[in-house]
Amino acid sequence: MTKKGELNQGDDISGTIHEVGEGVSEFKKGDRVFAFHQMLAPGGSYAEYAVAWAHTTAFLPENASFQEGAALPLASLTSALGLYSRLRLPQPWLPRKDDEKPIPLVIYGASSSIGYYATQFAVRSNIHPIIGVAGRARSHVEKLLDPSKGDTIVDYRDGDEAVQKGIKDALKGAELYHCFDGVSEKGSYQNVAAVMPENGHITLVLPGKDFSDCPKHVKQSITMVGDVHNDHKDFGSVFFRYIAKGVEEGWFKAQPQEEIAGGLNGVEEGLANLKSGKASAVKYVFKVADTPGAGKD
Amino acid sequence: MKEAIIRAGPKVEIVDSPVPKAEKGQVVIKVVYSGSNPKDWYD
Repeated sequence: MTKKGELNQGDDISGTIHEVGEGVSEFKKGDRVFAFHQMLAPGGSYAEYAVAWAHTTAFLPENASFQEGAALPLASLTSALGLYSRLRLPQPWLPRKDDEKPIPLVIYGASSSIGYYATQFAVRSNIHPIIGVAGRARSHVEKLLDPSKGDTIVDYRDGDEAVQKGIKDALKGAELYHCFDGVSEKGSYQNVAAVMPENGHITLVLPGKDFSDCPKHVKQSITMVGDVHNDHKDFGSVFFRYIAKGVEEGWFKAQPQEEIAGGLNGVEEGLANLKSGKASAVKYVFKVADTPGAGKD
Repeated sequence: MKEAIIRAGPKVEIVDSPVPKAEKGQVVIKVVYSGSNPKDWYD
């Protein structure tokens, strides 16, 4: 018997179609896919078989490994929702034109999975300058940036004052109206709000956290990836297929993966590493067939 | 099939569960790799 809240929490699925439900014409048994499982619902990805809605399932491109497929779903859709549903930035398929006004964007936690994906979307949308706030894994995301367009990294290890000054310097007098805060704690939104005018907008990512300490002169919103199974179903459907296209074409790359041995037995170590903050610019993935006793169904 | 249940800690327990069925609009996927996210552990 499992207690409330104790369940198979896995949401990132990569594998092959086993069974197709009524009304699903896009996929057939054996297709290589990756999918975002509905959070807190039964049928999560920490199992030999998992359940996903067809609209948040997409073909895994031939040039992508199953490991890469497992690193994409939740985080990439979070980034898409943050930039395009909450911050309403120019769509990646209708990017800002070079002769249009620059759109400064702060991506806090730029080398984390959601920050890495947000940065790649921002580049695709021709949003610049991108001001990425990162730490020990900064070089990972720095490679995506274009300094000739004003993009830069501000290192949070230098402290709050230095972060605020770094963002301000990077703006070169422009006003900052958009921030995707992929950290949403440890002073992140206070640092951004300190250099943001009224009507600036910070979108945050830790649903359930108390954000009453977020300075009131800025607009705050919460990016909740579960919306793609709620009131953003079409958004999720379009973006998930677009992410697959980006992977196939090479302009959207999965966060580097680290496989933890032991199949599902490795989940505990992976989650402990996430909790302790050991994870840096890495996605932990698990090869389910390596689980002791697997393969009987 | 084998399935991992996440308990506080995080502690993980591997249990035997029935293979899920696809409802209307869903697919069942034979998982090759599963990925993890910070939200997967809780206190």
